[in-house]
Amino acid sequence: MKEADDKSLVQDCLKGNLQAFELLVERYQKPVFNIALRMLNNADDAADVAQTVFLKAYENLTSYNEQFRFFSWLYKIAVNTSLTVLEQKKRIDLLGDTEVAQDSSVGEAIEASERVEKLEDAILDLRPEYRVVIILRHFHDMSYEEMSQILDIPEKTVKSRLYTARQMLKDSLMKSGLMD
Amino acid sequence: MDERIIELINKEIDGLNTPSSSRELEAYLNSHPDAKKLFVELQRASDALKHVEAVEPPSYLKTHIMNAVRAASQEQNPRESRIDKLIELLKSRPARRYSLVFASGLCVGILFFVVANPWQKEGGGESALSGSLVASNEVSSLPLLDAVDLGAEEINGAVKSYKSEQGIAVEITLTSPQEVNIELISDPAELMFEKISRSNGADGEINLTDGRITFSNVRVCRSVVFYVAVAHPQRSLEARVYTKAGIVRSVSIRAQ
Repeated sequence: MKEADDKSLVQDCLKGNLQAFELLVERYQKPVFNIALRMLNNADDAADVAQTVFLKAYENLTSYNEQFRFFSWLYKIAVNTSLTVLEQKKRIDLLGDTEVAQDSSVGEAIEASERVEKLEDAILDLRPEYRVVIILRHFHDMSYEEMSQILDIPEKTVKSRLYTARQMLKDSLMKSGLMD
Repeated sequence: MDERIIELINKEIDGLNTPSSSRELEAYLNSHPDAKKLFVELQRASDALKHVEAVEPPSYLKTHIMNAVRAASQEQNPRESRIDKLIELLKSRPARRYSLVFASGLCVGILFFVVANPWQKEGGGESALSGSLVASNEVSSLPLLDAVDLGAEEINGAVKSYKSEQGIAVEITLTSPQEVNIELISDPAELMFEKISRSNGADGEINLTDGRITFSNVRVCRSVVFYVAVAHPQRSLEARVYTKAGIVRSVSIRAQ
């Protein structure tokens, strides 16, 4: 039903209804932001990318092919825009240093925070083409077919990259001590 | 590792295996201890990712996005404000109104002689139209790039792309019992419109805007649109057919 809603919103947008586009923004700004964030590891850059993605989507709405799901098309723009920005930038440091009070009562919270930081580091250690398949599969629950459409690669290549990415991730987590 | 096993491992981690596939994998892993160890480690690594949660975007993000979109929307439709200004001007200055009517009549008259040309001989394969509409070379001698069926319901048609000397040529043929609109959409950053040829018997009007050619109120269409490649074409063109009910066909056609 959501797919039908997306398509009818797109049709309304094409007729000049900006409120319809605003609904699409509300629906997809969080996943688009998170794709960019996981690729770039910087909240400001991710926000800039998200804005660029929706603007590109709006300007190219007439070229959206209704045979594909709208979010697949949108995520494709998000991935490509993120990869472009990544090529232009060096790897950014960790997403802001989390200031946590040095209090023994929050020891578990610190440990959890450090574990998440190590996981994020491990994701960032992956080359972009492997990082993106982990992000789309694990954080956005994309199917292999959807990933194939978003990344413009055969499904066979998606599976192969996912397998390799998981191996790399495993090695990175073992190296950081998160896994023994 | 065998491609089949890689697929089974991926699907097992993702919870997508059928029971029989799970049993197949289990049997393989039980007889291959190294593979089993690897699978367990991959499963653990994947499970660890569940601790990473989605982050809320900044509260200002939607506002910034919509501001940019509204600005883009204003840029796309400046003509509306210009038309509004023109209407206001005519309302306030009757003399200008009469001048505009006279000038419009003069233009229509000139256009009539250029377009209709009552002294033009009968026959010929293509119609000579004003402005950018000129007789074209045959496409049959050009290498074919792509051909896609444009038919839907009672509409028969096809769109084909050819490699031309300067870029590409796109041929649209269509017949329909009811009037339809056909749109051909290209990326103006890659393809610059050059000319259109249209056969006798084709009907409807043609409108050109940046990157979009619209054939309106058409029952019979046989036109060839020529583009000059200003950059190496990467993007496909889009062809769409609309009835009064809405879009009935939308296809992509390769430009390379």
